Amino acid sequence: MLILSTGAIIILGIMQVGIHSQRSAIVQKSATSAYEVQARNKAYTAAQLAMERINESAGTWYPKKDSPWIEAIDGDSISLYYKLFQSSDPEPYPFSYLDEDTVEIYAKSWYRTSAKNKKEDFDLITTYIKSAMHFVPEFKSAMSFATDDFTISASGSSSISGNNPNAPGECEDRPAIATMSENAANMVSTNIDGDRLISDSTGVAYDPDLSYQPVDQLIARLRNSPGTRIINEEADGINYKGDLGTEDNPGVFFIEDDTKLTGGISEGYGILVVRSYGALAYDSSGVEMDIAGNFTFNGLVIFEDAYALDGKGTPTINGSVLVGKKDETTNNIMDVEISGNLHIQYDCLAEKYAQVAAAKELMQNRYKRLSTYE
Amino acid sequence: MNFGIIISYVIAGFLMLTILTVSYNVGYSNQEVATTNIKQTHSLAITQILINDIPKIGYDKKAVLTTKFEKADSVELSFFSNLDNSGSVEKITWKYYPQITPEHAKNPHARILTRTIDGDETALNAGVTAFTIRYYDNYGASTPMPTPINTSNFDDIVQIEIEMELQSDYELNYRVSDSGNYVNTIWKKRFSPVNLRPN
Repeated sequence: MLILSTGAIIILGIMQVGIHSQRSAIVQKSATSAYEVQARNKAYTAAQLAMERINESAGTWYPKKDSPWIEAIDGDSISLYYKLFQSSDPEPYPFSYLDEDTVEIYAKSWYRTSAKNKKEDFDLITTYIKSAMHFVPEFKSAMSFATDDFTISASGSSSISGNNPNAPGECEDRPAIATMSENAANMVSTNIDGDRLISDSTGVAYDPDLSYQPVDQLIARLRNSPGTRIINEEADGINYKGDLGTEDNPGVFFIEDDTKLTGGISEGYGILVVRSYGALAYDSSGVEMDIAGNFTFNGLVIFEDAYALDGKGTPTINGSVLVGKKDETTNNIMDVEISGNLHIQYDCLAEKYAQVAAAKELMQNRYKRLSTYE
Repeated sequence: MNFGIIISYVIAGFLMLTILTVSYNVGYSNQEVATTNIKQTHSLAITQILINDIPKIGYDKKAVLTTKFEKADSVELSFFSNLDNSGSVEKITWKYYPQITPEHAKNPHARILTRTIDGDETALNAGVTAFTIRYYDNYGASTPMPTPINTSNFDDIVQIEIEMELQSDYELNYRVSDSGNYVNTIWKKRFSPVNLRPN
């Protein structure tokens, strides 16, 4: 009897071991599913990291299929490379900076199956449209007042035009002046002779959506950007003789003291910001700057908490002028005098110079996902 | 009369009964676990195909398809995708027939599940006894959209949940008098196909 009992117990033990191994197999199958999810998440994380690296490197970081980027995420490595497809309708330089390119990211991550201890991989292909971010507000008129704290007058042969200056259809006609409120629009209409305001749209319009925010944030970021040129008396003296950007290289310029352009500068491109206590005077009576006898800035001119543009010559602003206050709670009133031969001309092509100038400084891309294959 | 021998035989009898009972239980448990393992393997074969297909809904090279679905029902899902990332978009249909039992199926609860790609149909006869598809228009929502999904609501779908049950081909009854006990394995997953995400 004892022998029989012993034999039975031994057989039971062997069967129990068999059951245990089968239960382990069931659990391993569930664990493999969890590893698959983890591998998937790592591949997506790798794609996100890749976009950040592209931004930080201004596009110089470019791992390719034969030399992928290998990185460890959460203990396991991933492999990633991307393909870049230029826009099918590229703009001429420098506007090509704003072209929308297509980025196709190939990410691979690995996991090991518990059941067979076999290495499995997870492949992810995700495609994005990459475009440079500039945060330059859309030009809605030749001259916009993003504040109601101003007075305005005009004299001489000055004029403001919202009409398309280029080939037909290139730009939409816009108002000559836009204000935030109807009261301000009425004030402008009263104080400015309608002959000075040229527009097939309307001379003066009010836009309740007009706001100085987020332009103030854009200005704050550009002010601290390494490529931005700060023009002040300490660095440049009263007479600024540097450049204000070129057609191929529009720039960002901050005028923070009284400055005269006397260095023969006849053209500027990009974004020009005149800040508190800053005033820009264009003195055309000197010998040095008389090449064409006029000065043209192409892009966006922003007057923040200050307006003083004294043009004895024939200054022209192609693009748009924006007047605003950083802090609307302050009481300062800006006295806007449009005098001499100043001409402000709305131009949607000049808007692109402002966009390129801002994009080059911000070095930030927007990624819009097109599709994902996993 | 040797009472010692009689008592020892009685004890031995109890012991044998106990051993036989335990042996039977262990044997039954062994069968149950083995059958579960087999059905899990069958389930894995189907779920791997589902996991390959569903996340690719609406995918095409460098674009998301405008028309992603053809039909979205609780037992049928028909969608479009460039499944192999080649040049062409295929129509993929998963369909469950709750009223039709496969020929030669030993389990009367088994039904037919098919996967069709551009008219090329494959029957997945692995003992599928239930297959339900639910659609959600919000991430993490607890209430599914009513089915069949109207064509005008296709673009609202952001998550798809699939629940599937497989049963063994044979009964596994503890007692001879029992009947109809089949080993179940259930699989459920909610997918969030990336190409259904509102950008």
